[in-house]
Amino acid sequence: MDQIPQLIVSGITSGCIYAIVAIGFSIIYGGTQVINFAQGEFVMVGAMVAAVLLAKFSLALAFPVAVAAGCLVGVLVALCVLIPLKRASVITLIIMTVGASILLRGLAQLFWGESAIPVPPFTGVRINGIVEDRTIHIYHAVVGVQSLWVVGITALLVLAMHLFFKYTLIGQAMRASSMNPTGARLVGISPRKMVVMSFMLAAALGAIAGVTVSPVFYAKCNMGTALGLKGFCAAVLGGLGNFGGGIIAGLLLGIVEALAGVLPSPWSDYKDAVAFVILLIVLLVKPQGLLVRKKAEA
Amino acid sequence: MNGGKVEMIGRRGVAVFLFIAALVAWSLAPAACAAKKVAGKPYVIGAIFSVTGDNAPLGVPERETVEMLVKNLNKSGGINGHPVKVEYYDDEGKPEQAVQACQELISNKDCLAIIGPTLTGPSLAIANMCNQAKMPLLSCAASVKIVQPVKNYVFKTAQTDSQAVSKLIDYCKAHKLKNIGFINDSNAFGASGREQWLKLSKSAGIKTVDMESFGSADTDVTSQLTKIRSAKPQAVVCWGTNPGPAIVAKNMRRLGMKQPLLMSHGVSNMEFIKLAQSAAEGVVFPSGKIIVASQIPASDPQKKVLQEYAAQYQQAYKKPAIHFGGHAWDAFQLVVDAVKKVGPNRAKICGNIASRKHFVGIDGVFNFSATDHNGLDKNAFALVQIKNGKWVLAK
Amino acid sequence: MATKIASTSASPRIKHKRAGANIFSILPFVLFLIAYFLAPRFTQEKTLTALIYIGINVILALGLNLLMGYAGQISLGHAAFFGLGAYISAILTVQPIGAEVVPGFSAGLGVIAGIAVLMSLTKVSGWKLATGIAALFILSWICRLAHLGQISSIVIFTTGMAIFAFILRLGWWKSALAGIVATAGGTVCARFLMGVQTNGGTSPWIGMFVGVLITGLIAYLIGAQVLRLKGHYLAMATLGFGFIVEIMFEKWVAVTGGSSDGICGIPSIMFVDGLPRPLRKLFEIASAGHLGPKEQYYYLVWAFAFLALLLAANIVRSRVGRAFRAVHGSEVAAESLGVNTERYKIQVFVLSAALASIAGSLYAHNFGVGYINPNEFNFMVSIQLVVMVVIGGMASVWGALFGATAIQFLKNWILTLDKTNIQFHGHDLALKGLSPIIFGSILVLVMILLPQGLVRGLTDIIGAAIRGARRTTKRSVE
Repeated sequence: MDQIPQLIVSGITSGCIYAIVAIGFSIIYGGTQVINFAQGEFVMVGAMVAAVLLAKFSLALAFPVAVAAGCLVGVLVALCVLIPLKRASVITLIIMTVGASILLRGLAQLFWGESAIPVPPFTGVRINGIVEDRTIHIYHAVVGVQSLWVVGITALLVLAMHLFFKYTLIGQAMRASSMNPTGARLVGISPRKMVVMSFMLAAALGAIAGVTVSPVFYAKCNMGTALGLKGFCAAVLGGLGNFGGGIIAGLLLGIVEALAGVLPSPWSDYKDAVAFVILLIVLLVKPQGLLVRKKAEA
Repeated sequence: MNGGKVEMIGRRGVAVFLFIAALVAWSLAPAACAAKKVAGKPYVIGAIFSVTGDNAPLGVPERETVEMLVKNLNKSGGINGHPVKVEYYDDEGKPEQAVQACQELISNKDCLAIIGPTLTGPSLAIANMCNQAKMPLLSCAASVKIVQPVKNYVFKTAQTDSQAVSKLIDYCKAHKLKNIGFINDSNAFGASGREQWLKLSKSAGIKTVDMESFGSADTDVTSQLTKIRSAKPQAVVCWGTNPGPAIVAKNMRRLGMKQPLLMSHGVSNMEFIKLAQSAAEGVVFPSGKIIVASQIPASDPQKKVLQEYAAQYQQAYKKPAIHFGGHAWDAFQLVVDAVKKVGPNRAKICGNIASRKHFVGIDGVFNFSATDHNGLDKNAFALVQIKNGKWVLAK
Repeated sequence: MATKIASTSASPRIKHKRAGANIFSILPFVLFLIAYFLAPRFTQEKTLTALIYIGINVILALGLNLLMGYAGQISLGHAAFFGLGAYISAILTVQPIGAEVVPGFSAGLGVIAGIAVLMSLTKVSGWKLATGIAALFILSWICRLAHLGQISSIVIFTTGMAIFAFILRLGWWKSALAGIVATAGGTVCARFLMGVQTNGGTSPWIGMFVGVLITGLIAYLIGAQVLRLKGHYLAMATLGFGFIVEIMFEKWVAVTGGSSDGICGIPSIMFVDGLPRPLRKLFEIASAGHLGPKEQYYYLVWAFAFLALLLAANIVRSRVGRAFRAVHGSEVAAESLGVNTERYKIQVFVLSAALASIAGSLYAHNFGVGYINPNEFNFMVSIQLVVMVVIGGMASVWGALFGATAIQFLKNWILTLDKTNIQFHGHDLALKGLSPIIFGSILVLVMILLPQGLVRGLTDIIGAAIRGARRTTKRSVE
């Protein structure tokens, strides 16, 4: 039973990433009604760019460049989605984002190779010429300092998003556009700009998450798939479009998944399936999400 | 409106038919052309390696080794005056891609043998096919299931995981490690190693106090390690291919577990050291002798061949030769030697390899027979330890 | 002016209606039929292999096509149904489930059948359904723990479910029936599996049938719940389901062999040999003696493919098909006209899953390979299936054929890319790892440029061009 605090710690680390990915899904879904399956790839782009840059340059340079790369990719995907947006069915858009995610993964493999790239942590200590992570002990659990960075940055992002959507003009415009697209248009908000903005924002969030978590996990060209899917599960669990729900769901998902490892051996092999089983159950029982009050369907 | 639509559908159907017919005709054409050509002089060997995908670090050196050997061979006149041409296929680590590649190679009348695949899954997928089509197959994959039960045309140059496991068990016995915690990658390599471990450790009197596994794409194995930790083993054995074992090493370090960490030949590459960084220190694993070629005693019959290969590879590719490239070296040499002796005939090549004795290769000294299509024993492995980021022979 | 337009547009319509099924609608079928019989004469082994894979893909694509094009839904985990058909068929013919797994497995299947009955009879959903499912599982577990015999199990189940129904105010006899089905189903399953075990494996046809049964059942369970919701919930559910099944294939090593062994030695089906004499003669004549096991398997696969094509074409043109098209156009409008959209959507989904299962069984018994591995049924495969349907055109039966062929040849072509040595400024350019880039680009580009798919899109463009040309010539004549 002393394993539990340790597991909760690793669960919270992955949970934070799921939460950020879930927020990304919700932003795009809110703004465009599109489920962006390339969300995980945004995280991957941030991680890979940072990994490559951090080999030669400092974090101060690598971080913003990685986020900028993520935003660029986000805008490109947004443009692809925009072209047929008006006349396309939902299926078409979903398929397109799936295609974009595969394409991004293929391109990453072409440019950066298939192997995992180790990434130095933000605040590390030099051992044998390589920067490695410090660890601290919290109540029976060993925590890598980078995990603390993950949690901290996640909290900052959540706060930033809250302030952004509540107080800035663009944020309010995005909220308006998602609640009532026609009304927003009447007031002069350009729907195309909103689509691009949502993608860019979600991509930036994803990239930040990628840079922050890659020292813990390794940067690899196929890391986006698993993260994207589990973040998606978290988003559905919390209710698509519901930020708070997505965050709580993401954290819960990370913890439950880690705790599933405690189960006796044959069952613990299915740890990976936990997120999807929960997704399926939620969809069968309460598809709007567990943490959402019933809304009227528009 | 309705009639128009019917007509439209009908026309579409014809269009689709014509399209398919065209594709089929196109796929037949090269064969027709080839038939018209005079029986070409080059000898063709097929090679299926996993050059992309998760196991590229295994497949790429294999391919590079073959490319290097072919170049040298053709420079010195080929086989009895015939140049050798290798047709490479990338199975991306996927069995069904290997099946497709194998189909193409089998239907190529000039293809004399197939080297590879790199991995167990694809090898198993094409083993029966090659046997039924009477195409000699020299797999570079680890699992013993490829050659047991013996199939006439299927051989294996890579050492078998059972031999690696025995070598590791020898180490455990020598160091009096009786209670072991075992964790494996859930891919074909890891699962096979687990099976062999279970079989062999019991008869050696070693108790496995806990068994765990992780997914190849897992980024954290803390849950599994904490379970192992609470079973209080004297050492931990990890069987898998990168990046899994690196994560195991790092997580173990983070959890403060001080037990010796023993691994498989899946980490016999620089990749592991790069990924695990300081956590790789002290890890012991069985490996083909190529990575410690300079430390092997001169009395070992493989010494000369190992050093030659290491030097050639280093010069051609500016990086050290590794364990996996050796599998392809052995496979290629076996085929070339066979063709030199019996000519371009698949059945004769198969017969030649099946009776080959005392072939000094990179993976070991091979002695093939009708019942043993791998030809190696546990002495094909050396026990290696990582010290200061470098490989040394383990004591 | 108005009368002139009316007359010109009316007459062609009447003309075609009188002609009935004109030559163009039958021609493609005839062409394909001829090609089907004669193919082994002219093709070599390599092409025959490709044709077998294409045939399997056609069955898959048709099912998915009906779902995506006519019911307007998307399944992102269809490889799961494909894989279930393959594995069930393989397991039943080669590697019967170990005795220790049988009781739990059968009980589980029985419970699933019971859930299906519960859902279909009582139309319950949400929390009530969840409790119902939980109740079935708990009852099953109790029966197994207490090692109850059959009669006592039935009694326990029926009473248990009746009590449950009473508490939740559902039809009590319906719930009881669900309970009975759960026990009976479990027993039947266990008997069957033990029988298979002692026989060392059953015939591939039975394997295929059982595969369809189980896959259809699961599809019904998922569809009945999810398809009554609006929007793309099916996409999400199938995505999750696909991954669960993929993980199950990989980790449930005792039953599936996992990714290390897969399942080896799957027997093939000697189709023509098993046919009655006159039919066998037909095949022998057509193929001019080239009738080895591979050719026979080719005939088998395409026989199924044709049946699937006929089935799909029939559905599209029937009342049901028109209802589908209505659903895709506007659900609200369709419902207001009395079309039960939910029922049709569920039917299409189950059908597409069943077709995928058949394709999976055919894949497993493929001659010459006899090996399956969890990697062959993963997410990328689901995506490739979607690509097939998308390129062909989501609402076009021939499009499915086109898509299946195109994707197979594309995969083969990508494979041979590595073989070609291209020199670029003196450096060897290795064309490897292009598979995801090519597939991803196709998806994106087709969705942007020709979302109706290449078949319909291109024929529309060509048709429009021809009409445009005709119009200009007519005008110049006038």
